[in-house]
Amino acid sequence: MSDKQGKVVSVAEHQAAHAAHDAAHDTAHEIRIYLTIFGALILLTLATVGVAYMALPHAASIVIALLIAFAKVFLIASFFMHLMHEGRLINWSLAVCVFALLIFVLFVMPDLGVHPAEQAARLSIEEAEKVFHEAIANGGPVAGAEAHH
Amino acid sequence: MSESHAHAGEHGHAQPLSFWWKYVFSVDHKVIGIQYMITSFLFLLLGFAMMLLMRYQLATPQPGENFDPEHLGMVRGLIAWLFGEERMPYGFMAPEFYNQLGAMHGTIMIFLGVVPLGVAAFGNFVLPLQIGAEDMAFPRLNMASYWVYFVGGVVMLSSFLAPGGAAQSGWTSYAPLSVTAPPGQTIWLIAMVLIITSSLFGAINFIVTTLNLRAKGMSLGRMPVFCWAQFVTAVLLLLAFPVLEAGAILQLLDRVAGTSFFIPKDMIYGATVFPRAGGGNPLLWQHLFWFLAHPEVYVLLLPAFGIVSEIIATNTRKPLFGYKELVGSIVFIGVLSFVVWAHHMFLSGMRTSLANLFVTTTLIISVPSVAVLTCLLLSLRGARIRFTVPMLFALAFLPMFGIGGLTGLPLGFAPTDLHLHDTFYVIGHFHYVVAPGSLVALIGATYHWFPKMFGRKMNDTLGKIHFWGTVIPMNLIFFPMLIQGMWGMQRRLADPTLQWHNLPVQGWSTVILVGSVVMMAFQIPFLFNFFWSIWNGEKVGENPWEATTLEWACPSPPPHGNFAAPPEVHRGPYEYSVPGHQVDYWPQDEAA
Amino acid sequence: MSSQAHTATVATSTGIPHAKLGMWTFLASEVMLFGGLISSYVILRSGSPTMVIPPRTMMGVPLATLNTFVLISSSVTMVLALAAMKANELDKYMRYLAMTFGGGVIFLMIKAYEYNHKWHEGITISSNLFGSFYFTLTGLHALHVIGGMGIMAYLMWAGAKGHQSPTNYDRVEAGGLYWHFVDLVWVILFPILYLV
Repeated sequence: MSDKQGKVVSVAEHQAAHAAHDAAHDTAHEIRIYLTIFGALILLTLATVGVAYMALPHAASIVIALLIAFAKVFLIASFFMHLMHEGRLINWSLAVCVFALLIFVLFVMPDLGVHPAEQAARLSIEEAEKVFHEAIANGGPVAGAEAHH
Repeated sequence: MSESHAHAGEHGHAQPLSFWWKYVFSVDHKVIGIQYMITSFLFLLLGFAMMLLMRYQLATPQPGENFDPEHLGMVRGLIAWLFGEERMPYGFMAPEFYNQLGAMHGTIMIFLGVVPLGVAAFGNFVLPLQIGAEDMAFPRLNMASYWVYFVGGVVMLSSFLAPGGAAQSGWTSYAPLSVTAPPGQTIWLIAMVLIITSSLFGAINFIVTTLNLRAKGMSLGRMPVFCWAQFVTAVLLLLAFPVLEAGAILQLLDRVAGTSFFIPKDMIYGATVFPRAGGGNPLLWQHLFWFLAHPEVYVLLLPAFGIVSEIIATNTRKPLFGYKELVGSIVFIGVLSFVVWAHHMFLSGMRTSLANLFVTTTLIISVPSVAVLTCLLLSLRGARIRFTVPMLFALAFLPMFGIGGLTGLPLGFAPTDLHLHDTFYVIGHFHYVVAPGSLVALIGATYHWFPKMFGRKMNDTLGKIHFWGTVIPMNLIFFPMLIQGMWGMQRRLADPTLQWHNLPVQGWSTVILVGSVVMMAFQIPFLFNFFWSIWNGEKVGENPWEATTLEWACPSPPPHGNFAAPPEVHRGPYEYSVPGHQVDYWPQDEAA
Repeated sequence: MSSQAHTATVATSTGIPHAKLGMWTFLASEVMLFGGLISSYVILRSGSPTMVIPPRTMMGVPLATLNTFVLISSSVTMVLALAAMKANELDKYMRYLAMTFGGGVIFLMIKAYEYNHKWHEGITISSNLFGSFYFTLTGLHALHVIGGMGIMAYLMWAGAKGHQSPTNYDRVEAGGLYWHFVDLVWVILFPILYLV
């Protein structure tokens, strides 16, 4: 089977290379890395819960939560899923997916997310409705107007 | 003990397979490809029949002066009897039934007809052969993909039997109408989940196969354009379909679990407020839907580009013009198709600044399409054209797709789309690209690869009759729609004569009906030709078209395992009329 | 020998085994599926006038944090199982796989308790938009956990039958990728549903 340059690569060779690489590095070392990452993930989880209980301004708490989540995703993907060792094909393909999702969110947010002007308009409608309902409760706008005379 | 021979042509099966494992649950990509082909032909015919009913209704939506309910005409009497009083009272279509036919025609043609034919049938059969592989990377997944598609198709059709009828909110299933629609819509959603699952299985298979199972010497730059087109199509399916699946899950929950993902607060339904918590947004459905459905239309188109490229190369006896430009444009279309979706939503009430963004991206995506068409046209220049039946269809594709593409431009500009949206102009536009466009290419593919599939050629005379009887009526059907649409005739309206502005163009509906009936009649020689030739067609050898690509370097039909020995590729895919070479074609796998 | 040949690794043009490339391709589609749902949640959460977020006390953050630990630990045991297979330590491999499976069981049990708790608090799938998203997202995730447990069961069966070895472990690797992905999705769902 040939890759882009027409060279023949066999998976047995690929895996034998990996196995030799790993043997040379000693399985214990690999396990130590996994346990270190585990520790880091625990710490990050505690951190994200801790930050959530600090009364931060809303935008800041979202940003920090997302950053910590991204860090955890990065660790799991890079070390447990071995993305660190994978070639361009897989890494770029995943980047494309994430990019496609970002496009979806970024293009739709301005349409369906709240716009400050809309928020203001909504509030003013709510206030107007409140006045209206109060007026009804007081026996109708006309009656209310008469009452004010 | 070696029970697994490394012999190509055998897969270590100790005894011959039973009928069920050989023909029904086969894991051979060729058998699966033919299964897909025949099933999708069936669905195409079904969708066509639904369309005929609709066109009959649109041509004569109101009783004439001489109408006598006791003595219906032959046709009207027959359909009144077939469909009953609820659906076709006195042979005139109830609006609900018209909408059911409309929604199901679209769904069936796209998801059960054209995509399975273009991607699953021809992709499955030809791709492994063209890259020199024994089979797909995951043969059992392939088999599962076909059967899930089949079950999904049956479930989809069964929705006609649901109380209230089939899905009737358009193939686009816009909320909140679709959320409040009769149970047929739920069945539509379930069938879509099955069909999407089948597509995802197939996409994974195509991607891994194309990347991993190319023969020695078959670098990506030596792959035929058809393979590139199938690969990009598979990537589109892989990334876009799950988003629709997410949306379908949300809509299903809205329908059966009382959620309000697409239901706004305090929505008025009939005379009351719809009893839901509310807070959702109907536009979210549109965004989720079109995020898939726009790449989906390129899924309809790209295999056709690939097919036409192959047929043109074979029948012009010269290399394709601009291999790199063709492949680059196809990839570019794939990438861009993800950022144009909201041009279907210009009139939805979405933010206009966003609309401008999508106008820009939509106009940009027209460029690589033109590039592809230009390369294919330039490939004809100076060629000794062989006017075989497949070549006739491939040649017809070019101007038909050209018209379809050009008619898309006013739709891409939001200001003109304001007038044309939801009119028959849109229907004319997209049918031009899909019917005289993609479908014509797919029919050409049938004639082109039939000899490889069955070891016999289809009859040429019947093929030429089929060609003229398809392409000319297609123009009679779809061109008037452009006119009617510009006049303002709306889609999804069972009786257009209810709107007085449609009356001047109502006459065109009769032309369209005649075109549809004639076109249906001319499919009969094709169907006869197809089945008759499987057993009685002129026998052919490995390479009846004298082509260069690898699928012609194995027996017709290829045995299990395809090649006697794994092929080795020494040159590009279109080495035709190489100066100094004895014959006018130089197969990819021939020794230097 | 023949049982290994059945799952033997074949040569590929990219050098990546079919199972691994196939699993990454599948995961790409899963990214889009969960991404589509999470995007919808994000969009409606910022844009809907009536999405009321329950207070943290009602959400049961401590239990969910424990659940996060459970899933992360099961990811660690999964990758340790792969390391054991590469080092030809079959008994360790089986033990770690069983622990991964067990992690899934504990996760689901805690989830079941959480769901019950929420229903009593009045947060249901149809009570309001937040409830709808909560149960849809975590429900779909839980279904994927169940699928992952099926894969673990298969890998334990295959390991017992001798189908895997230090030169033939693609399916273990592929199964591991799936499980890590399930963990990854939870790592994203946890903060956006419980913490912000």
